[in-house]
Amino acid sequence: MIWPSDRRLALRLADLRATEVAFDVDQDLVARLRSLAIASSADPTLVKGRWKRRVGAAIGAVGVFGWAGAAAAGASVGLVSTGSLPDPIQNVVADVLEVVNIEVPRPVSSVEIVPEPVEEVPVEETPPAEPPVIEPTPTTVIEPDQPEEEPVDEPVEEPIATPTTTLPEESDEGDLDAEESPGRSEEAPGQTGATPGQSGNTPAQGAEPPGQTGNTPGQSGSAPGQSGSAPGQSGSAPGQSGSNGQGNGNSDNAPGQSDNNGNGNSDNAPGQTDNNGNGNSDNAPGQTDNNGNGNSQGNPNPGTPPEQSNGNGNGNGQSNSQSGNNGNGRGVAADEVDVTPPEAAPATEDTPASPNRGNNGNRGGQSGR
Amino acid sequence: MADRVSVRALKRGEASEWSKFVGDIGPKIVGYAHRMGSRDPDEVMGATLEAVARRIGEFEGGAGDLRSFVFSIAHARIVDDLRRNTRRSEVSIENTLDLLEADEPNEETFSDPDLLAALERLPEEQHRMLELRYVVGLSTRETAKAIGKSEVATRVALSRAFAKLKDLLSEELRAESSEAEVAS
Repeated sequence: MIWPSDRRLALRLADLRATEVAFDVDQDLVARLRSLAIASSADPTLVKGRWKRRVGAAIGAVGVFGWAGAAAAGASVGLVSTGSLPDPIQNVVADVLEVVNIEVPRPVSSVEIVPEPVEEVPVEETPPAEPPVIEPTPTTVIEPDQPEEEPVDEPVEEPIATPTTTLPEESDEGDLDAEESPGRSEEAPGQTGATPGQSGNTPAQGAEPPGQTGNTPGQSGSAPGQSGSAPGQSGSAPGQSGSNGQGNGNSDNAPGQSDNNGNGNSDNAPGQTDNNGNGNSDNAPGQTDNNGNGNSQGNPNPGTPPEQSNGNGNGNGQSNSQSGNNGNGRGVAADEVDVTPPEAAPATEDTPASPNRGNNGNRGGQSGR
Repeated sequence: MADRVSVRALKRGEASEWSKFVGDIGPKIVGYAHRMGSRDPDEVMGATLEAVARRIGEFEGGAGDLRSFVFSIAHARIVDDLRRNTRRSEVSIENTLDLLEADEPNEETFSDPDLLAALERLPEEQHRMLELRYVVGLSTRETAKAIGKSEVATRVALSRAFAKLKDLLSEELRAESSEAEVAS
């Protein structure tokens, strides 16, 4: 028995190939394999060339004129989008493209400037502005010939300045009535004599909505800067000093509204009677401050006896800028403060302390527009 | 013989090179298909050569690599053929009988029935490696490429397959000797 060695076994395996049957090569098979091999070998180059040909065909299909037109269209679109074309062409193109909801800039000259809608501030209806009524100023007629009614025998007590400032209610809401308009002191504090110290008869009247005070804040009077007709007469007896009449019309309004103050102040030095009627308005920024001042100074006249004093009255109506506000103040003499309203004010003759009917500061503070 | 085949000439589609290639590799494919159990070795050979011709343009390598390439394709076709025959047997008994008669082994094909019987008892992968390495005559590297394994792994697997084949043949020899002793 021969045990199979490795070599012998390998030979036995190799002998198996001898059993393979050789056959005649089929030429048809060879021809088919050959054509397949050529096709397989040529494929990679064919694929590359195929793509090149397709790209070239696509480019060539557009044609020279096609590419030129496309370039021109692109350039035109660029110019139109930047608004670089001439105005007529730009306008036409903009009209055409607007049909298809494409907005392109139009020439500047053809752009309609639409005014922005101005927000109308709702203006509270105010009663029609009363025309500035210039009340006849109670002119103090100094009648030198008129004998003194009652000579003051007793030394006049030093008047105690009791400035009664009548502040109207704050008009924060701006819906004040006309009668309660700030700056108009109806109670006529500090009246001296008949109607002393009235400043500003028609304060705070105006027709312009902004900056109205009270009823018509911010409206200015018709006669700007009118001063009192007979301002500053001081009728205090000589030697009387310091009649202070203050009539304040103050209104502190909300921002945007105006504050009008009417002050009638008279700070008199001894022997002097200065009645000031001031209409002050402190407005918000951008609004106007109108001051109406009625000033009266009573200076001792060297020609007069030392007990007497001449009254000089200044009525100033100042209006700043836009809407005028009237501040009325009534100068009230401190020595005789009569709180009664001006309508009920006693006659000047009834005032013993001011024989010269020192009306100070009448109509001060009307401010103009 | 295969060394003389020029891969470039095959790619160019030269008829002489293709005739030489088919005459050289064709019988080996048929024998390999027979031994691997294919029912129609000629069909496997034709399909294998056609696939090689279709893919020769992508092939890169020399003649040895081409042999590995050819037998890897041949093996895939054999597997396909075996599966197809399996399905075919389910279709018709008559056709199956015809196929069995056609594939009936003869003396020319199976000259060493003991060795062939031992190869049949090996696992399919070991059988295949031994066929490619010792029967077809591929080198170890070419065999490794044909079966898709590394050269080292193929070398080890070949060694184990060879040893197992020896064991199988030795068992047969022992059985024969024992039978002879009993008979005597």
